[in-house]
Amino acid sequence: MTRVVELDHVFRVYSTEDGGSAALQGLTFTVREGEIVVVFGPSGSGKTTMLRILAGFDSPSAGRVDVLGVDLRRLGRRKLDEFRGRFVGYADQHYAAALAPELTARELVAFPLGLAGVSRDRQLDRADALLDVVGLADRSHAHPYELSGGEQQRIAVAAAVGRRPRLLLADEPTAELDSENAAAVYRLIEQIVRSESASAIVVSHDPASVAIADRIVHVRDGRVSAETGRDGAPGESIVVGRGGWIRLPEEFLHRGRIVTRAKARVEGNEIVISGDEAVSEPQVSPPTRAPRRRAAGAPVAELRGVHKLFGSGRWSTEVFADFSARLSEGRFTVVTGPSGSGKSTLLNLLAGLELPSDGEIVVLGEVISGLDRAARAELRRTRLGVIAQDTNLVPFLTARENIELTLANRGSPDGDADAALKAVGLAEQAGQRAARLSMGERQRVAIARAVAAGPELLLADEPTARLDAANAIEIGALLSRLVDERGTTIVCATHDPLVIEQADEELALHR
Amino acid sequence: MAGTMAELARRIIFPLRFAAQRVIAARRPMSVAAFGVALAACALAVAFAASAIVENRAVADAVDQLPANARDVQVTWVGVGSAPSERPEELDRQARAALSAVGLTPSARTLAYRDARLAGQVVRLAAADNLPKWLVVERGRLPHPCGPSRCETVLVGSGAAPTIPGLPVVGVVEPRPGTPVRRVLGTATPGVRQLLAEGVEGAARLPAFGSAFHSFTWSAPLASARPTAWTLDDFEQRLTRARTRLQAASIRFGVSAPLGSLDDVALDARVAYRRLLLVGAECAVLFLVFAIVAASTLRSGALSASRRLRRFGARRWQTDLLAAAEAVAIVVPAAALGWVVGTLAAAVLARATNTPVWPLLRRTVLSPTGIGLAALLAGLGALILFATMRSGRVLVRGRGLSLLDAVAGAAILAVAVALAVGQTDPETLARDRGTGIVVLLVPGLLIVAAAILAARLTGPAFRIAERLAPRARPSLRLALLSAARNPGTQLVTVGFLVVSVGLAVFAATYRSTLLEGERAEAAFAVPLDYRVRKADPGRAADQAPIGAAYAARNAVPVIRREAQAPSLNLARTVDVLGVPSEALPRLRWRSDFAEASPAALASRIAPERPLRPTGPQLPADAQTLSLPVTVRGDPFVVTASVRTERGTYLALDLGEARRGRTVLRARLPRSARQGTVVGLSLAMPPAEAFSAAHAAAEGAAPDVFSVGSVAFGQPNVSTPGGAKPVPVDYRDWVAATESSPTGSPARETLRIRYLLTRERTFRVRPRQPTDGSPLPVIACGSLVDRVGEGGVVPLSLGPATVNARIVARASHFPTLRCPFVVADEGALETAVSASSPGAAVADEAWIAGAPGLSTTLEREAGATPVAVTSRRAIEAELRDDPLARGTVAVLAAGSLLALVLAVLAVLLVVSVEQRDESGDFYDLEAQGLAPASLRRQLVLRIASVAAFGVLCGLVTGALLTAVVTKLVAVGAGRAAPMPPLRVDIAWPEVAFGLLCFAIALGAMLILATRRSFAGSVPARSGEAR
Repeated sequence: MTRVVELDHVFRVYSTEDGGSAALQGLTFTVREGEIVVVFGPSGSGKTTMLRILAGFDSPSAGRVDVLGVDLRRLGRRKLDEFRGRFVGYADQHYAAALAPELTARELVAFPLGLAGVSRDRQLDRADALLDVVGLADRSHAHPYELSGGEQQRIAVAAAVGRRPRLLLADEPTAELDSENAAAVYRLIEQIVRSESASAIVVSHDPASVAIADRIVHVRDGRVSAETGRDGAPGESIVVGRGGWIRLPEEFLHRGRIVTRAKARVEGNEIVISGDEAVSEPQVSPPTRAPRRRAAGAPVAELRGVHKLFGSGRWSTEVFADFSARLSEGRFTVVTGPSGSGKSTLLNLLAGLELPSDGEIVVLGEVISGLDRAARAELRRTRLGVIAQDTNLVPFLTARENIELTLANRGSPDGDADAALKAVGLAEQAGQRAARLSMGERQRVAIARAVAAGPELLLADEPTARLDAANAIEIGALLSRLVDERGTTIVCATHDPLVIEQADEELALHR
Repeated sequence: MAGTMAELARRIIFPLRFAAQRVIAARRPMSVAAFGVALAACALAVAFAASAIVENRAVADAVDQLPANARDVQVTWVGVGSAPSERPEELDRQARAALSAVGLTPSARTLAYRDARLAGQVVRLAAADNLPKWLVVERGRLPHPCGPSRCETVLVGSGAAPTIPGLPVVGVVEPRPGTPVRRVLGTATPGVRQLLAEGVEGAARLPAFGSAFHSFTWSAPLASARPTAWTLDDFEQRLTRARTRLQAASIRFGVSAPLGSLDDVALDARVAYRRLLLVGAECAVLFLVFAIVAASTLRSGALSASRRLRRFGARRWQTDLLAAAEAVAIVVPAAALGWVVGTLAAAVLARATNTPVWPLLRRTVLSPTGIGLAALLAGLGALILFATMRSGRVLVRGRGLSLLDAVAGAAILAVAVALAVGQTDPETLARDRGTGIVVLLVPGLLIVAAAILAARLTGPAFRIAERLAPRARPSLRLALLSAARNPGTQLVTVGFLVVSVGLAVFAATYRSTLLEGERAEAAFAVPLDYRVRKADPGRAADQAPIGAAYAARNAVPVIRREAQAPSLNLARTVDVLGVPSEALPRLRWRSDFAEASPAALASRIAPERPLRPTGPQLPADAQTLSLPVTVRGDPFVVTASVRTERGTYLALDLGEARRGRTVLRARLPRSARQGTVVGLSLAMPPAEAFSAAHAAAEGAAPDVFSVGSVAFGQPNVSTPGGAKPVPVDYRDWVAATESSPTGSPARETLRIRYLLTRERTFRVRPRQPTDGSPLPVIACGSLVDRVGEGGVVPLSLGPATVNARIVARASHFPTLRCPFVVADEGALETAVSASSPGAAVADEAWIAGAPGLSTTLEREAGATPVAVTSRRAIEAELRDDPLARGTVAVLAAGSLLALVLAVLAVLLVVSVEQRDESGDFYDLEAQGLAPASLRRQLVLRIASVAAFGVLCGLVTGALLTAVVTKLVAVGAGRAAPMPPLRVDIAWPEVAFGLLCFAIALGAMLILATRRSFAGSVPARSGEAR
């Protein structure tokens, strides 16, 4: 089969004030025609950089990048644009930025077709068909800011595949989607690839994405560390880099008691690698504990007969109609449901970032829906923690400063920002400006910020949407510890089973 | 093929439609940007038209100010008129046609005959149509129309009326001054009677003058052609064509017009016009920089849109098309609207200043140049907007040099070169009076450099501020950190504020400098309130010092002379001024005239005691002066120099001294009584001198001289009470030229040897207090540089030579231009009179007084004709100059515009920052920051950035004014002012402007931010409000 993508020892080094920062360090892999490759890897491992290079939005510092037989390094900007326009579909991780706020969902999906000179009727027909596939036919006239995150994400994917690209690059296309909608998106991708003999690279943290994968590639530290076939062997196939370099999975390191040194010996046809240091106990993965239900406490938040309507007139959307719920103190509650079911809206209502159209919301004994905007901010400042879906850290502040700012605002400037960052695995990135962090890293900073503040009630919206499994487990455990150790009440909107399994109760929403 | 074309068309139309959707959706920031562009275009249009109005006004005023006798365009024909084509009616037809061709209608027609002897009397007969219009009847009546058989006349002026048959005189008249009739009569000649008849037609057919030489004149007021600055050239061309046509018909035709003086005015007006364009260039700079600001604020949105397009497969030309369409949609309609509004404003301005509206508009804003300029600006603005929106981020931080740094460096280099050229080649600047292309470019270059430099400093400045306030409130700290680390649009804000505030300060300060320059210029010309000068200073030696007439007014007597300084090899003479040292502190003085104060300067040139020439005093009742003389040798004549009590110098001829002992006598005029004998002169007798001159002229003898020795005895005066000796001590007498003692051993007898030629006299005089020591003077820089401070320079004032010691330096001194020296008036008179009595008496007086004294001062001068100059009148004249008024007004408007645009720019930035940072604000509010705190943070950030920009703008404005003031040689009017312009920072105006700016900015910030933080819930990123 023809190689559609060929990356050969690709490096990408960014200049920062603290020196060069390597996002890719000799990445090598190929994609063949008709193949769907799912790429897994922790946040900050270089997945998005790789996709941007393949789409021609970025260029490698070194290495060869061939796409559809064309060496992208030899193309000028104009040619790159033309190449991308003709052959590549790109579904951005920053889906919100990809959607023009001036346009409706239908116009957005039709947008690439319009740029290609397709007639208006054909554009709209195709857009309607795609919206139907992703389950948004009824939202075709909504603007992006009237849509939930998951809905926006589906619009972005639909727009990316509209022109039937030869190569589809999708960056976490289902990060904020429930399993049902995620499955629809995967179906759409698979349909495009199979029917058009195209190829796709899907960067994801979602194990369900394996369902459409012909091959699974694991990326760590800017290079491919392992590969697995969809129906392959039970173990990962560790990729051997040029010169014999291999990267052992974290679990192997834990089990082999390997910290900084290792011994290797050949036994027959096998190589045995073992730790070379005195390590008392094998370091094990964070516990994936069995659900341990905490007793329900006093109600910490209550929604009474809440109605919530977005927009007005013909295009208005009712999210809640006479909705009531009670959330108990000292418990970890997850809010689940398909995208567009109102998970984020529920959290925003509890945080006082939205007001109900009707009904009453009581949070920590305060009728938050009756407070003015400043009083609601004061309540959040003193008693709540909020992890928003679209994390907007202050970009020019470092990770540490972002946390310190929140702590100072809450009147506890001496809080330990570094400890909070360490808890989310970002101790080394504490001095990095938020603008330079990957989306997943930003999300972890946002979690650290909320945790460091020590709130009574923590509202988290898809906190693991952009995290790999290991990090998602860590975050889930962290939230669970918060409940156990500090008695924090957590309400978390999520699709992530790794988080859901940590919860005491589940509040399932339906459209 | 058709399908491909349709597809291409759709691909073109699609970005255009998207651009329209974006422009409609982002009305607020785009409308602010468009408003600023429109305002700048409007200002530019007004500045363009105002420049022409000012230029035109200057010409119109110059026409109005032409002397009454030089306001007309005249067609003349001179001859006998024998040919048929030279019949009066034919000539009249041709002359009228010619005048009509240049847009003129004759207001007068006159005829003048050459002086003729009729009936034994010499008469000058002239005739004019419609005599009552031109004459004032003093006696009798006006004549009836002239006919061949009887032609009544009137006599002009006084004298007996001539009796000439056929020309009866019926009255006496006086022509009104400046009228064509006054001109046709010419200058009165003794013995020639001037007669005037009514009607040229009749007078031209008088039989008695049938073959007389005569002239016809058709006069038309120049003003009736309404010449303007921009029609002057055309008017001149038409006049030349008319002259050519007339002379082709008859070579005896002539055409004259007072266009020579108007050409100078037009040239000066052009200078002022170009300088006003400097302000226009300011508007253009504002326009373009505002376009950059607008583009920068819209840039993030445009780049996002471009990225979206690229993600969805847009070709590069499609993203370019999107940005271009947006730029055009913002700039072009705004610039067009601004130009239209500016055109209307120009029309209103023209009407208010009595300038023809349509010609003005056709000449300026609606001319091809004007339309082209508007189109160019719109195009340039759109291009800048497009380029800025499409450009990558320009880094002005870090150590690396960016393109902007290179631009700033180049601008600074260009300014440095311009300044260097200005210093080394002032003639180049003087040639175009400081309005050349260099001067037009310098402000823009400086502004660009300053804006980039200030932007460069923004990050470090705020970083320092942030480190100085580690415990500040979160909102303040966040504001400072944002400005330090995330400059982005804020750099552009600082840059634009530097440009706008800098230009505003420049305009205000330059305006203030020009106004102060006018005051300084008037005070320089008239150091007190009035300056009275003798109308004929050449006769000064014969007349009393002018100050004496104004003794009661505490006038400052001033001696003004020109001297040669041969030792310095100067290209021009040295101005020598004598001013009483004690009067220096009273003069209107500018601190940059000298390092020392006027009082300190005065103390350096002041003598120990007031000085006047000393010598034997003549008694008050003296009538005759007699001087005993004993001569051994050739005869000579003796003249006594007497300084009268009023300061006048008299030369008393004592007669010829012949061999042997004689007593020379001279009658003393009344004014000489109580006078001082300041010397005796010995000269060759006139007869011998004449013979010697004759012999020398014929080369008969090499030279003739008289030699011998003489002994002067004690002089006496006769009085009504008998003879009295004049007390004299000859031991103190010296030879005047050498200032060395004569060595006379006796008190009452002076013995000297003499050698006289026809050119060389010999003088002896009493020793003067100034003898033996140089005259202390204040000197200007170039003299001090040549001689050195404390050095002595010999100055020749006619026959007198004075050694002057430079005791102080002054770069300028009222009424003088370098090279000059200033001495104490009494000391100067004494020193000069020692060798040339009367060669230095005050011929000028400076007087302090209330307004309106000019006529009184002229009257008080008595018989001495004087010219009085009023400081206030000069100042008023300078200020009333339309060029000055226009310049000052346009500068004021320019500064106002700059501040308005600055406020708009900040408003634009606030609007865009709120939009771009709505996500950040949402997140921070989600973390519990109160909306008021977020709003405060935004306001603090914008305000601190604005304050920094304003501060840099103030410095830039002051610097710009200093540089432009140095380069632009002309003052508010059209001449290079003396003293040169000095930067006068308009503190009150600047403070008031800043206050207004701060209030407007504060109000704008409050209004602009209130809406964003006033909703019941925070807005999410991208959500429309």
